[in-house]
Amino acid sequence: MANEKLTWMDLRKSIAQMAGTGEQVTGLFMDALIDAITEGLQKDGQVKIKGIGTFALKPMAARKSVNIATGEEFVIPGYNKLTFTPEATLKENVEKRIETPASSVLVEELTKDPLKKLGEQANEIVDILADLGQAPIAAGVGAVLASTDVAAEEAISNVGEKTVETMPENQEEESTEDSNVVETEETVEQVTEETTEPVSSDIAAAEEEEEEITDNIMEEIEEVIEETTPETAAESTEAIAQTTEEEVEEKTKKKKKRGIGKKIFWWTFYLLLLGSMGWGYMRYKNVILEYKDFLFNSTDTTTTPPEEKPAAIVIVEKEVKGVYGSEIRIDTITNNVVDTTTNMVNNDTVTTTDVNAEIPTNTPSAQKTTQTKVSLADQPRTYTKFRCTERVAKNSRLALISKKHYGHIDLWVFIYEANRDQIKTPSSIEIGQELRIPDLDDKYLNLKDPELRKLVDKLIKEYDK
Amino acid sequence: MKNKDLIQHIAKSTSLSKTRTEELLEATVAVLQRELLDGKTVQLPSLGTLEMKRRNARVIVHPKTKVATEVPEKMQLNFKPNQAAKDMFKQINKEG
Repeated sequence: MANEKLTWMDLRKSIAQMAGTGEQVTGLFMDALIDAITEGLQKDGQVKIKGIGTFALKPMAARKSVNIATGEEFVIPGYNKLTFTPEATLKENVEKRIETPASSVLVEELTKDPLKKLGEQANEIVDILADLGQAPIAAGVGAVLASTDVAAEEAISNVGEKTVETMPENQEEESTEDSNVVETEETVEQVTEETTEPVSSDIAAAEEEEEEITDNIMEEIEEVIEETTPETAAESTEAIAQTTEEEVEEKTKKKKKRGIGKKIFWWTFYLLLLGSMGWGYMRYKNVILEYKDFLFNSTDTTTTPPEEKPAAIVIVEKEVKGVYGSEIRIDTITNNVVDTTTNMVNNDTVTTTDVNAEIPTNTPSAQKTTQTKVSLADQPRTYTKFRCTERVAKNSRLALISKKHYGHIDLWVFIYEANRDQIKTPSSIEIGQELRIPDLDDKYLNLKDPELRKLVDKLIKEYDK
Repeated sequence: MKNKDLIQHIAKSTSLSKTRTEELLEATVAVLQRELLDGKTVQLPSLGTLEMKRRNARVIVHPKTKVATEVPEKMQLNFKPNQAAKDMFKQINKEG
C-alpha cells in the first residue's frame, strides 16, 4: 500500500482508457465534473455521486471562544463546513481492507495492470534472441509464440534459461564486451581463458565449434517449442469453447432484453392509444351525442347544453355582448381572483386597474362590492412595470436581490412571481440569468402592515418547499 | 444535486451526449474507487483530498448496560477540504 499522492489529472489517462475516449475529452469532462460539483454545492448544498458518496455543506453555528493569549472573549462566526460521507458499499470495501490486506492487494495489483498483449510478449522474446545474434530463429520463434498466451509465458521462462546457458558460448567471439549479467560474467571469463589459446592457434576449428553450437541451440529451441505447443493447443481449444458458450449466453440475454424493451414499447403505445381515445370521447362527447341523436331521431333537434363549456369563457362572451347585468360582472372579478390565488400569475392576466376601469361603465353597486370584498391577499398581483433587470451573480439568491432592491429579504416572493416564466423553483436560479425586478406598489413594500405580512408569509410557505 | 442532475449539468456544459457523460462518470468513479482502495491519496482540485486512513481499535461502553465491547481497527475514507473550498463555501448563507 504505497501512500502515493495523485493529482486529479493523474487519473485522466486511466479514465480515458476505461471509458474509451480521447484524453482531451476526458480532461474536459473532468474539469466540468469539478465545476458541476462546486456549482451543485452552491445551489443545493449537497451533491451525490453514485459509487463514491455525498459531498454536503453543513452549517456550523457561531460560537464563543477565548483568546488564550489575552483572555478576551470573541465570537467565531458561523460558516459552512464541506463534509463528505462515503457510500455504504464503498465504506464496507474500505473497512475490509484491513482484514486481508496481503491477499487483496495481490489480487488488486494483478487486476490493475492489464496483462501484456500477445504481440508484446512475442516481441520481448524476439528481442532477447536478437541480442544473442540469432535473428532468423528469433523471428520463427516469435511467430510461433504469438499463437497463445500461455505458450508465451512458458516460453519466456524456458528460453530465459537457455539464454543464460548460451550467453557465454556466444560471447567467445565478442570477447566479453557485453558483461551485463553478473552471474554469467564469471563463467564467461573462465570460458574465455580456456578458449583464447585454441582460437588464436586454429581459427577454423573455432568456427566449426561455433557452427555446432548454433545447431545445438536450434535443436534446443525446437524442442522447447514442441513441448509447449501441444499443451497450449489443447488449452486454447478449451478457451475457445468457453468463450463461445459465453458469447451464446450473452446473445440470449441481449435477445431477452430486446424482447422486454419491445413489450414495454408496445404496452405504452396501446395505453397511449386508449388514453387518447378516452380523451377524445370526453372532449367531443357532446358532438357525438348530438350526431347520435341526429341519426336516430332526425326530427328532434336537441342542442348541447351550454353548462358544458367552461364558465369563464361563457361569461366573457356575454360581457362582450352586454346582455347581462352587474351580477355576472362580479363573477368575472371573482374568477380573476381565483386565478391569481391559484398562482396563474402572468403578465397577460387582467389587472386590478383594468377591472376598476370597466366597472364604472356599469352599475356602481358592483364596484362597491368588489372594493369591500377584495382584501390584499386576494387581489391579483400583476407585474407590468419593471424598475430594472438584475443579472444573477455568483453566490446570489432571490432573497439577497430582494434585500438590495426593496430593503427586506422576504419580499423575494414578488420577484419570483414576476419571473415565473424563467425560474421554476425559487432555489433554482442560475448564474447569468437576467431577472426583472418589478416596480412594486407602496402597499406591497410596507411589511409592518399585518395583512401584507400574512400574505408574504403564506407565499413563502407555498413557494419555499 | 443527485447523480442524474450531475450528468445533465455536465452534459450541458461540455456539450457531450448524456450517455457519453454517464460512461465517463462511471469510469471516473471506478478509477477513483480503485485508486482509493489501493491506498492512494487523490486530490480533487478546489475541493480537497480523499484518502484512506487507519482507525485504531477502541473500546466502547454501552451507556445503559455498561457492557464494554471492542471496535476492531479498520480503514476509513477520509475527506479533507482544502483552503480554497473552505473559503468558497464559507460565505453562502442557507437562509438567503
